[in-house]
Amino acid sequence: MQIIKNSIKDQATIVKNHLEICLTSKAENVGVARLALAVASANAGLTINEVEELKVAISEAVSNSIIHAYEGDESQKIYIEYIELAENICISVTDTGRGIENIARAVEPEFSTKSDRMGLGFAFIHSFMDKVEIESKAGKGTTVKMIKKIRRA
Amino acid sequence: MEYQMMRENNDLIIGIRGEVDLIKIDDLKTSIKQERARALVKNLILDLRQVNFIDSSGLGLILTQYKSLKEIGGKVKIINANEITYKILEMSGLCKLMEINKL
Repeated sequence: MQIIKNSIKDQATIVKNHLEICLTSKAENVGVARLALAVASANAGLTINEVEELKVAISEAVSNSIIHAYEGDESQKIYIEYIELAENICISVTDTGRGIENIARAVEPEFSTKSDRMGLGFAFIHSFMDKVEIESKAGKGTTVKMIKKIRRA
Repeated sequence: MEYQMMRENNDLIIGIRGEVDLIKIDDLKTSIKQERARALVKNLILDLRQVNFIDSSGLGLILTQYKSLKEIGGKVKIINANEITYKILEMSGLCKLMEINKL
């Protein structure tokens, strides 16, 4: 949570909006997470394009938890936290799945452990968010923390 | 996501509507597989006019089809991609592999 904590400290901890969502690890919840955060981030002042970018990043992070962390086990939980600050939107997506053994490898474009996937999930997250941090422990789970700047007009 | 399939000789044309993500992607995968098993499909044309969201789950399907159709001398073509969809396709590198027409 370091980047989010730092960000909160920088902005004198004025939390303008805060959402905590717990989802069952089912494919249909990818859309639920995306929609909830799209509405919240549009209200926070992101442009239409920025909201679209954020939607892709959320989709990739939640899909990763479902496919890779839980390997299709639909009875698990995914936790999403959304914090709107004065200048940033901070989002974390956490699972308690198998964890990523080699983060450096996982974020390489076109690396995937599954043959029918493009391995672009993390590449998209990095492209579309301003800051990304991944914390993972084998057998314990993964948290993907992302920050998107609010460029108010 | 919803989709409709249509055949024209050896072309399989799929009109997709809605959000293309993890949900129902396996369903679409299976439908394409069945259609290709039924009669020869050389080219796959994906009409994305009514697609308002796509992520790497959708791109994975496109790439898989591209690879397997390439083996038999066929190709994948994407038509009517909207601005954000086109951006995603471009970033993924799929633009270099196949013809993609913008809306």
